Amino acid sequence: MGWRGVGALMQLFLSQVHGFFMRILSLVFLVGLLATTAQGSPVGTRLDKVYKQFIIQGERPEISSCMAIAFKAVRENAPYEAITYPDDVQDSALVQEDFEGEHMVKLVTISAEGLPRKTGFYLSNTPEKIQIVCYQIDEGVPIVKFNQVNRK
Amino acid sequence: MSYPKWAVPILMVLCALNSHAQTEITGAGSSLAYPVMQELARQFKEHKKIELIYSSVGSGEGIRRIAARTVDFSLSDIPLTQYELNSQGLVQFPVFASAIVPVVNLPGVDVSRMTISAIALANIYIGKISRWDDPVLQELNPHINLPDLPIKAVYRSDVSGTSYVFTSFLSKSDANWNAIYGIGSRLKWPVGQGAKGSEGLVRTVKATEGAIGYVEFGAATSAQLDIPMVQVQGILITANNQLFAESFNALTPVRSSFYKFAAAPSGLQNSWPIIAITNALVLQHPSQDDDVRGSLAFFSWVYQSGSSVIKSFNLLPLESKKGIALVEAQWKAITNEKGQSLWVGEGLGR
Repeated sequence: MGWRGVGALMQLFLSQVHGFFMRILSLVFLVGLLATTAQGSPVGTRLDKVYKQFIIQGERPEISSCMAIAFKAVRENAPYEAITYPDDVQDSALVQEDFEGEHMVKLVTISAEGLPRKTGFYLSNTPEKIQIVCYQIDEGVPIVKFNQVNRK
Repeated sequence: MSYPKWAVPILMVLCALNSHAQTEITGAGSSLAYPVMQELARQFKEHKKIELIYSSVGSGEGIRRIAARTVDFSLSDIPLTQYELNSQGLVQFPVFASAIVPVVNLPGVDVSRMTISAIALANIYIGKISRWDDPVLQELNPHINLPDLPIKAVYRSDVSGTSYVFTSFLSKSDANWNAIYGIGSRLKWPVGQGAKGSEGLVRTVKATEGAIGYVEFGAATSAQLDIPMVQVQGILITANNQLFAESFNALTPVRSSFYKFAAAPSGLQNSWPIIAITNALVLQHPSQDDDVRGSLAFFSWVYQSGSSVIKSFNLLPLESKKGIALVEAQWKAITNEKGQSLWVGEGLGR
């Protein structure tokens, strides 16, 4: 192999390295862009999109807003940093209505799994069985609460 | 007959202009509403020359389609709260109502003389009452020799407005049902067999000896299904159109969203307890004016000229001036992106 061959190999190596770095750089840029876009959107708009997504997915209309509100709470400061709904959430969610004096109250209870929010360094985080309870007075914005099931 | 070649593009342009002028309205949702919507659409086309295509896909799917903006309107027996309407940019208003009735397939029994209490109905669907000659049912019907047959409860397996209304009734009637199962357009039913759509439920009940189900009155009568009397808080109520109309007229919306209706304190003592209100859902701020204008023109025509058609299907038209005025108030909130109101009618109540 002559100098020409070595030069060609060097060129190939440099182009590969350059391509690799460019791909990494593009990825970092894309992630940054997505994060900025997500953080820049008004919370209400994002919540409406999540709710719409549940409706479009075909979830029960009467429980979809509670599912969306719970996701919003998880993104903010809920005691859980992630929640997973079981496959049978459509069938198992409980919807009740009542009047408290002159106020109409709609109560939605959904069983789910939640990953506890932790701070600092930790090695493992085990999901817990939880109940998500949405309390909606006079058709207003539902208030969500997370209850751990079987807490000892 | 032959045309000169230059006439073809001119004809094509004329056809395109003509098809643009002819508005087509698309709607989807409640399967309960399908038969009447077919007839209303036919008459609307006859009078207004506008085509309306309505797909019977169930209330849940109807909500899904209007949320996805793939139809101009949806019809649903599952009401949305004001918060949910705001979140989706939708307006909701009642179009007509119907009575949901229990239906029974018990050969050899005069079901029209039979009584089922609201609590017994809940216990049948819970599975506590599993045979027709159960002492609770026999006590309610001392004059009938009930057969020694298992009860086969039939429910809707799809996301259904009829199920939503029926389970609302069970929740109000029985604390046990309310605590465990509650209100649901779809549920994990403790016992029974699922059937898809009103048509599916009617077919299953008709084909199954010992079956009980729940369906809209018009569908029950046209399928010649037997309807028992219902006992609510000691009062015996017989299903009939006159009573349904009185019961519906006694209801007023609790709020302008039309989510919940309640009887006035001086309301009927023996009103039919299971009334489904079929609401229309349209966009509040459509990107194109025509997306909503056509639907409003159709519903305006329904309020003014559709009552007799609706009644002929054993459904209950919205006839009260107060109710229609409330609907019009909602329509005035429907605006385009420039904030201009899209309802320019002369008044629905006139």
